[in-house]
Amino acid sequence: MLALILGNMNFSSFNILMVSTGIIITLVSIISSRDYSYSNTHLFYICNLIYILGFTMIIMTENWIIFIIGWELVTVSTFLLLLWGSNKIARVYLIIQFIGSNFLLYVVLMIMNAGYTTIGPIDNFKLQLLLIIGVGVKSAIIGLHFWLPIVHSRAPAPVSAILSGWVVKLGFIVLLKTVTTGNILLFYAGIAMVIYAGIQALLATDYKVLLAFSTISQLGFIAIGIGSGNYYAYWGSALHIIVHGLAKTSLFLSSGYWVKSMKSRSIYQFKNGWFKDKTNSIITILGLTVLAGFPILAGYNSKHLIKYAAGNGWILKYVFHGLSLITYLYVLRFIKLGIFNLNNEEKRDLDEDRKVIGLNALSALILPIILVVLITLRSNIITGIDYTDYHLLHGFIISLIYILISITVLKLFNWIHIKEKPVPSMDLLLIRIKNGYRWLNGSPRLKRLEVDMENQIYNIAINFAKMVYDFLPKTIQSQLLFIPVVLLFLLIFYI
Amino acid sequence: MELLLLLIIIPLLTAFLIPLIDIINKKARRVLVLAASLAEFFTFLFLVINNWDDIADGTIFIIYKMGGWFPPLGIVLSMDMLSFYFSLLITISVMFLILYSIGYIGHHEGKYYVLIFLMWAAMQGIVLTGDIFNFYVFVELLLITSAALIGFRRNKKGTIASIKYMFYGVIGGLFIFIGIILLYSNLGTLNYAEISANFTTLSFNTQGIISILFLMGLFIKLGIFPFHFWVARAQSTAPSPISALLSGVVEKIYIYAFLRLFWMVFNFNYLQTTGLDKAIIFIAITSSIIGHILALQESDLKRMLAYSTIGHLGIIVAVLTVNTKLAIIAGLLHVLSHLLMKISLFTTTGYLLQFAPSHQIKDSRGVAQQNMFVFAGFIIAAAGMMGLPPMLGFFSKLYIVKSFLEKSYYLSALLTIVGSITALIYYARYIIYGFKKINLNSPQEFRLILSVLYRERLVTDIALMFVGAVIITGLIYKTFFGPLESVANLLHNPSIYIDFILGG
Repeated sequence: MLALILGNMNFSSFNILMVSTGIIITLVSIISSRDYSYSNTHLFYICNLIYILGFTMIIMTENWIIFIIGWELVTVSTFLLLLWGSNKIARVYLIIQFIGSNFLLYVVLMIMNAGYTTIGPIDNFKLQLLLIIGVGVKSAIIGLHFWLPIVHSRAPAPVSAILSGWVVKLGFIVLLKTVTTGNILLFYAGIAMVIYAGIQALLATDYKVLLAFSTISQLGFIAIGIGSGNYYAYWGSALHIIVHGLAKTSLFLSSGYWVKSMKSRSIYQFKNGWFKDKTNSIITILGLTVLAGFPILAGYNSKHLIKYAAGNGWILKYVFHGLSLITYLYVLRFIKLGIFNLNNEEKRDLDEDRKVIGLNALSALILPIILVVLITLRSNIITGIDYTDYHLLHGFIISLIYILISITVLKLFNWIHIKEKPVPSMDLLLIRIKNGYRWLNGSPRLKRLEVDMENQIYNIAINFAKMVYDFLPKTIQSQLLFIPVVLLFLLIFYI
Repeated sequence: MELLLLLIIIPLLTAFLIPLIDIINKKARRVLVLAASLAEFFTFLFLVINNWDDIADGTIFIIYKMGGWFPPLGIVLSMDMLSFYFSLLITISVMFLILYSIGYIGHHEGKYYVLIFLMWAAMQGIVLTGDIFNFYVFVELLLITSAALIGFRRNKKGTIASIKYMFYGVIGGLFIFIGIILLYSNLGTLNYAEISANFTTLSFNTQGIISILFLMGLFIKLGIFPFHFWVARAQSTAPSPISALLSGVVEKIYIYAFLRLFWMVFNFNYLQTTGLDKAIIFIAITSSIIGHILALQESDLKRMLAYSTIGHLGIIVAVLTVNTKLAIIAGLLHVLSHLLMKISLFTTTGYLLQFAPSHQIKDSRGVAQQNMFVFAGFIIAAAGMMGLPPMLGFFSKLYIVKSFLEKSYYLSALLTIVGSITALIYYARYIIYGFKKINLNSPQEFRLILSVLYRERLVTDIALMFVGAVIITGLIYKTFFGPLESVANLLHNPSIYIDFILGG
């Protein structure tokens, strides 16, 4: 056993750092889960332990087969964790992830056959691309991200913290190890992810959906860093994996408490958030600041490093300013609409039922933020590169300009106070596809769901199978006819 | 060594003794059934202990000359690593299935035990014999006894299934028989080793026709795609232990025959030069994916499991035909994993179906309430079928895909993976229904709450034991690589076998 571990695991400081971040995120989520009265808590903890084992195997190992086993363990354990929420979401998650992990198995075996016996840099562009698609289902590369807002926004808060904070990062950790010299498609996929998901987050009316889309958007930054192949950007993405993981965990956990105290998930219902729950407000604002990359906190450091990906081209530099601006836009919009949507007249009524979050919640929410602060102080040690001057003053001024522009834009559009949208679900996604098809046909669009669309897809598969079954002969006389047919086939083949 | 003969004689003799003992005392039969199955097990154990060093090296060769006649003339029983592997699987799984049957069927059916012991003898005979006509006799014995067991319930459905199975089995046997006639008329011998040594002296066309005849016979017996029509009927109407035996063990016997005949008796290189191996892979993979598709549309639980058997057998045959060392190891590993998983699925199903009004998946609502452990066992075995770690099914799937990719069979590898995704969907359907809660007190939801099993505890324990084996073998899967590698070496060098039989 010891030989197996020592022979296949790599205890480099990078790996240990990643594993410990993952473990901290899991522990924080477990602490927070104690505030929700879940049944079968011991099973919940066991699933968490299997999950920890799974991601440790993924991160530590140099052996592709152990990597695949870990990947499947993470799929199974996160599926089991999702069962504490909604069964239907868990089912959707399992089917999508199972297809993804099977494709990854195929890709990994192809990579092994190409001669890459251990996990390490891969030079072949096609194999890199296949690997990116393979991990893309779990890591929500654009195009394969469709399940993420559905699952992350509907999962119970501690589980969505694990999923959004760490599970989606595992694919990028593998890409960090394999795509060391950059991949231009990953780079452009990253830009597309930041823009697309950022706009979706800007238009979100549900807090957890906003967070889910912001996860995709931030993953885009990581993809840019890895895809560019720039030395600093590469380490910037490594730092962003850790920083974003911690911040997003804190945010998703706090979203659980927000939903508890506000009794709604719509950000328009988060009135007087500042009065109701000052602790939670401060933590949420801190977390969002990390996401936006405001100086001093580590989010700035990682984004500063990732900006080296732009290289010397001036067009890309402006694009990168735009990308940072998108994050500021949706962060500031939420801070205004969600937390500082104050009404002084109602303040007096609120004094009585003011929520003070408990010790579990406080420790769960504050611990990741403290860690982010610590990382800020020592980010050059963590990235392992000799880079100490982060141009803080310059960054501060630029960030203020971002904020000014964002506030102006948001003011112009009345803080994007759009009509409330339904929470995304598999059914909505499918009906959108169906409407697209009807639009091509010229038939009128469906207004709302008539039938369970998820079952319809299922029925398509089963009906196809039934067609195959009906196509085969039913009487024994005709069934026996296959014997001479196959005999002839083999004889002809042989001749 | 006489132990080889004992492995066949003990079940054969027991089968004939059971009716006689029935006349004397019905209670004595219970003792006999139990004692005989234990005796068979301990004979095998004794054989293992006696030859432990050879088994560990992978060089075991035991020969028994019937009546003292030397090989080209007399019938020989022989055990090499390939026979040992399959004989081990048969001995252990059939013994536990007989114990399961004691709990499931009870002791009042004497004929059942006669037939199952005959089946056991036939299976051991096929695996141990070194004579091709002897092989044919045992195949027919297996066919007749298993057909009788399929129709054991003596209802209309069972009889139809049994006749259909018989029909296909006889035609398959006929192909094998014609092949044997051709072999004998051309070579004048029936001994495996003798045939193997002289097979290449035959003309090109004779070799081809003999191979194709045997291939047809084995395909029909295995239920590969265009001949799969008997499988679902036979395996769904038989009692659960017999379904488990048919799907888990009997099908594997034909896999053994496939390996023995095409690698060690006929010339496998010949198949590769004619390109016939590509045809086999094509048919087997088509069969596999169609088996999974048919399982998807099935609303009857046991038929669904039977169709999934077709899917997995197709993969096994295809991967063995790839004929690299890794491919043979992967195929044989999947033989073990499919055997364990299918037996655990059928045994748990046999228990769970006691609580459902019919075999329909829709009627299985609320079975999770009845016995959570057995239902969890079903889920674990199904997860193994889909290929989730740490079950053995994952590792065998992994190595199967790997060996397909090594020889650039990209589509076959992809279809293997598609098959396991399909498996997720059709097992999930049953599991979701199983977890639906029902109110046992309301008259609308009333169903059989009391189990009608003879010994309920025995049934659940053995079912869970097989499930445990699925997990444990998965955790120690690397230990199978050494022995299976020696099997692969043996298959690639049939001259070792020839020298041993004819020289010793």
